[in-house]
Amino acid sequence: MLEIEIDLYSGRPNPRVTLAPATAVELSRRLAALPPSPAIGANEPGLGYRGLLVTGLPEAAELRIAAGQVTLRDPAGHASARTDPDRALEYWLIETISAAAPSKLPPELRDALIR
Amino acid sequence: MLQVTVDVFSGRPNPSWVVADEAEARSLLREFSRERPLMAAAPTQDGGLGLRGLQIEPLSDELDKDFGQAAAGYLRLGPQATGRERELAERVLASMDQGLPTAASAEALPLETPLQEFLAQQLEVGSRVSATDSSGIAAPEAEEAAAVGPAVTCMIELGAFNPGFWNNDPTTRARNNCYNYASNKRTNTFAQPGKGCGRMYTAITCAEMTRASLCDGLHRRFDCFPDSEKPRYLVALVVAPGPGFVDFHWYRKQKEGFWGHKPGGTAARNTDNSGRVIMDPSTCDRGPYTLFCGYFYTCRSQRIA
Repeated sequence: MLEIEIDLYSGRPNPRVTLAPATAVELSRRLAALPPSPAIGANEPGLGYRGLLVTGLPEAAELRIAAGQVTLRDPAGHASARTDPDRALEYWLIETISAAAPSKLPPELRDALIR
Repeated sequence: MLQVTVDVFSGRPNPSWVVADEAEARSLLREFSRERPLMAAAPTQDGGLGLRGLQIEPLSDELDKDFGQAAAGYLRLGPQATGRERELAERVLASMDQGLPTAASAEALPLETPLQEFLAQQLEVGSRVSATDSSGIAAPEAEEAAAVGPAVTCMIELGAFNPGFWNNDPTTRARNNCYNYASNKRTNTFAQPGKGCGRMYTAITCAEMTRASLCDGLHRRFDCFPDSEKPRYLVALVVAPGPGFVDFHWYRKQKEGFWGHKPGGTAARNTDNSGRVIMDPSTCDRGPYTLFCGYFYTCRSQRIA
């Protein structure tokens, strides 16, 4: 089951959305097409939108998509990173979440994340 | 058997007890033997008044043979104690419940809950200081003071910045938010203002978040708490008003002079969104949290959930 946590709040709990299996397949396809990134980002952003945390993909125990970079820990525990040019994967996933669960990610919030 | 003596009193004999349960004694000694660098051979002479340390001593030849010099010794406490030293001390103090008083401690306080609470409080106190918070003194937060009218001085507590407590354990880090951090109360519930008193906020505005926080027991700044409400931390509330992005956030003033905070399930820190150490939460880089709602005091009896 593909679950996305939109990592953005400090006081309130972050929104979590469960997406259809077909979205998981498409996400895996897009993920595999991304070029590797030379460095794994170490900086953790503070207040405001921090990225998307993905669970439920067979190839990734942990996956964070944020600010043009994808960091991944595979089921064996190995960490790697890929580049997300123009944040295309991140924005596609935000649009997908907003369309599938508008109550969790209403248009106003979606626009705040994408701008 | 293992003997524990708490080096705390000046005039009265120190409390002391024996951990008679072999398994518990071995478990404690094993833990201490792993932290050998923290142990001293004897008490220091400059420990001062209050909780100074713990003396640990195996009372059987088997334990002495198995752990001996690797475990027996003196754990220094007091204001300079590290988080790990306090953790070890808490672990030992918990053994007091099942401990048997020693002959030497016959004149000391009985090994009852009040003594244990007193010692736990002493441990807690070591990492924080009390300070005055005056409305008449120019401070980064001076404009708040100006609105109060006649000068008011409240006593508050400032805790040492200890991000490891919130960050090292993934569960603690993920399940405690800015309100937990500001209140310095780990609940693992991602605490929400007003939930503790049964009237959680119904909108994220300064007015409604203030109402919910006061309902939990907080006071506005310069509405002083008595000493019985220690620790009384100075905290600041901000709000992200939207559009779209609507949330609240808290900061807590630390002993070192800067402010600490914990953005949601991420790491506790003392820097703002520009990476600068936070000296003034009303002017630091807060990203979308553009509304500064004001300063408050937390307190011991605060309800938080």
